[in-house]
Amino acid sequence: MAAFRVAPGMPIPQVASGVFSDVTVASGINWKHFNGESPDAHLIETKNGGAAFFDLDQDGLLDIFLVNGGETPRGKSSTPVRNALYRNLGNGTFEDTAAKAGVERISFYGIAVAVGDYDNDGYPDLLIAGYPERALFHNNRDGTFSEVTEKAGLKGAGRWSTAAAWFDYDRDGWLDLVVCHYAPMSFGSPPRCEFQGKPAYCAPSSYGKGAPLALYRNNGNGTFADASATSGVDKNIGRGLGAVAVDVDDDGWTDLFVARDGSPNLLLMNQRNGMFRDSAMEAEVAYDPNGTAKAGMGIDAADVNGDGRPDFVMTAFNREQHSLFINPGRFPFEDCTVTSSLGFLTTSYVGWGTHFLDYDNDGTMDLLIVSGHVNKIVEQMSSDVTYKERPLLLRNDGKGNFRNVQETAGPAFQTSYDARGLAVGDYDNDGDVDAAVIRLQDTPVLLRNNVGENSNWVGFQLVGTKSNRDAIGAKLTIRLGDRKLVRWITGGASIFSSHDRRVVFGLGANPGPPTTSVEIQWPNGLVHTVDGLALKSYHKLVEPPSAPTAGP
Amino acid sequence: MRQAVELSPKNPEYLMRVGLILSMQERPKVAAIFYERALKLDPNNLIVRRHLAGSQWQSGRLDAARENMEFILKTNPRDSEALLLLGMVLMDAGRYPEAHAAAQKAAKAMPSSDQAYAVRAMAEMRMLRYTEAAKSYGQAVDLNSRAPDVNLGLGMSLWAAGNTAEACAIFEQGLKRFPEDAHHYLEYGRLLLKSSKPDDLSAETRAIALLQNALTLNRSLPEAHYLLGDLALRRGNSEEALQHLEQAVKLDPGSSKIHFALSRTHRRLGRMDDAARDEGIFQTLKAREEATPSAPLLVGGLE
Repeated sequence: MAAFRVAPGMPIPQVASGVFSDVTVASGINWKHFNGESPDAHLIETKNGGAAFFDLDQDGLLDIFLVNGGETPRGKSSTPVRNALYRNLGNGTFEDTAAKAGVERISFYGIAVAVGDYDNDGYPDLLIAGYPERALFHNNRDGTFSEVTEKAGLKGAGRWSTAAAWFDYDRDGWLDLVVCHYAPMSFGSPPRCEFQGKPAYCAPSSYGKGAPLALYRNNGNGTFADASATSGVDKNIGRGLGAVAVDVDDDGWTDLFVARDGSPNLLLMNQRNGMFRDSAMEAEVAYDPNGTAKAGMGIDAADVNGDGRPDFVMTAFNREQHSLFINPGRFPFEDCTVTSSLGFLTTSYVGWGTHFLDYDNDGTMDLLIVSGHVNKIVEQMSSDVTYKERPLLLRNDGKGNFRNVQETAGPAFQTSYDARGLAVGDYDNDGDVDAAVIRLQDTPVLLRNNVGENSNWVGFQLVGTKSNRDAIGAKLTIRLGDRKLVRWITGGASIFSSHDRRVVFGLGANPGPPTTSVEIQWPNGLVHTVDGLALKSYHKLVEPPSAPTAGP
Repeated sequence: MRQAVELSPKNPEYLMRVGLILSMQERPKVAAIFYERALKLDPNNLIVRRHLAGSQWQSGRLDAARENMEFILKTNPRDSEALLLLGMVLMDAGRYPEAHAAAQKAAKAMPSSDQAYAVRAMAEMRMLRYTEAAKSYGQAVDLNSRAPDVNLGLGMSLWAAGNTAEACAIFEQGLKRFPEDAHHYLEYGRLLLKSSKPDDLSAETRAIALLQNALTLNRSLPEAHYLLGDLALRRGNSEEALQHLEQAVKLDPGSSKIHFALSRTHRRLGRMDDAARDEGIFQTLKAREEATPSAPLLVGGLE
């Protein structure tokens, strides 16, 4: 096995005070989102806008891909609708290379992006979900991509794909793909709703009961087999919007949590035989305690209370309160929405993208949530709900109780957005996690973390050999005194978005030993420990070929 | 009176009076038969038609009631009472925008009628126009501060509109003015449970006391039992939860959320068969609830 340091933090001047700085303008990112907003009020206009942090050219710097929406019959753009691929120039600025890379245009309405190295060639590939198709772009390793959707068998023609997550459900070392669908739809016959005589976006139920999930098994030769029926996932009809792949029960096999919009959520437990079983009712995560299926949108998993098990956050509609499900290592989970304060803090918000991140690197997983209502006229009905909403930064006390630190998080957190996708990643390699937020009909917001680098941290890039190369499904554990910090490399997460695959452990501000150890459980089951890892560095760790080994 | 009718079966006045007596006895279906007979003899008698519409409304014949009210209003578009009754009928029929329009006209025609403003407010609540509903309820309270339902509506609409502190003040006033009104205790208890910070133990304690008071005044409030059961479940007191939820389900066996809570409680008590049974009932009831028409996407559940 190999362990070595990768690109060190680059010198970037502080832009402003606060936890995060809005560095969008300084970074040169000026792409604008377009959603085809129209008097027909197609619901799809409200449910799109994905972002991805990924290192397209493997130069050690995270690049950014931004998925545009599209036109609708009566919502036309004055300029061609285009995606953006911002290449990180390493000095805090980015250059849009989408046209050159061949990912600028797609022939359908774009919604979400999922990044994964499906052919294990060391270069990340792009899956764009949307309506009425999807697109798989293979990374040519020279800064360009080739569309291979048809050949791969992933076109999904006629379907409204909202989310996708790469993960290796059968542990054969190749990334498989789960795709969430929303509902049957047609631009020709949208359901019509009004509020005070004006067109309004309809509730999800207006689109029927939803559509089935799809699961594609990677054949290892650039093609995929539709395993939706054989795995049993296609039985789950509903309006899926977010998915995260993580090993819920610590059996070494990756499971799936699917957040659904007004349909009961799914907790698909991997049966280790190519099949999944929905345990959401048993786990009590399908509905809220009143038996109501919330408007589940963004979803993420992390250990919020330090017990070494993945817990879940799910964003929802205003008045519903976003959910926090604590995993006690058995079913049912504990719905800690109220007791954690998450419920109280999110009552007025329509939450979309969400991701756990240890923004101050103190070793506990905090929470970032971006929001925005669907209907502009909402402000006429209530004084506590606004169309544009401020991002939320919630600090975890280490026991899974959250406190709103929005007021000190920086000017971006005092600004209201109509936000959708949220991607996280350390684009400046300084050891703290940054974020990109998509805003409907506007430029994205790039948020640079100013504070995490002040604490101790250690970061990892895992490279699977027997396991999938992205090591999605890996579990990493660091012992910090009597604390055990556990992180996972997940598939999916947040909404419409894809994230830095590297894992950063915050180790707190106190001076401790100059090095640390990490235990890695690789997706294929191999467990090994690496010692003597220098702090304030990223380490590239390659899966050993055979028996567990230890040492730097 | 029956004898009078038998002696003069073609006297619409007698027939109407029998209808009125039956209405007072809360027998609207039978009353409607007599009003209909009277109306056959005197089709232009708007008083009889109004009574008939009222009986039809009370017995759930909403379309027939609406047609009769519309007939009256065609003859006399300024009949404010007919407008008000039409608004109530349309509310029950789920035709909220039309109910709102009728109540609006009634309020204009009867600016001192708290009922007109209350019906308008009810329609606004159902149309998710919470800010306007709070204003309408406020006008109704100004006109009649002795009506507990109107004060209750004001508190609930203020909460729905996001003015929680004002809603609390209205509920506090309501408790003083209407100490015998169980619904004030219930709704204020619900507000405190749902809106308080998790570490605000005094709010939770107060909420429990309010819900218990509501049950002291009226044992047949399933929602109070449900909220107490749900809270007990959240606190890990499954036995206590079961007691409340069993009471709740007896009072409201068609509530999906009560069966859902019961299912969760049974599971915690290790009664897996009972849990499965209630989960099955929950799923059946839920499937029925979901067959709803298109509605704008504005707000999540207030539960």
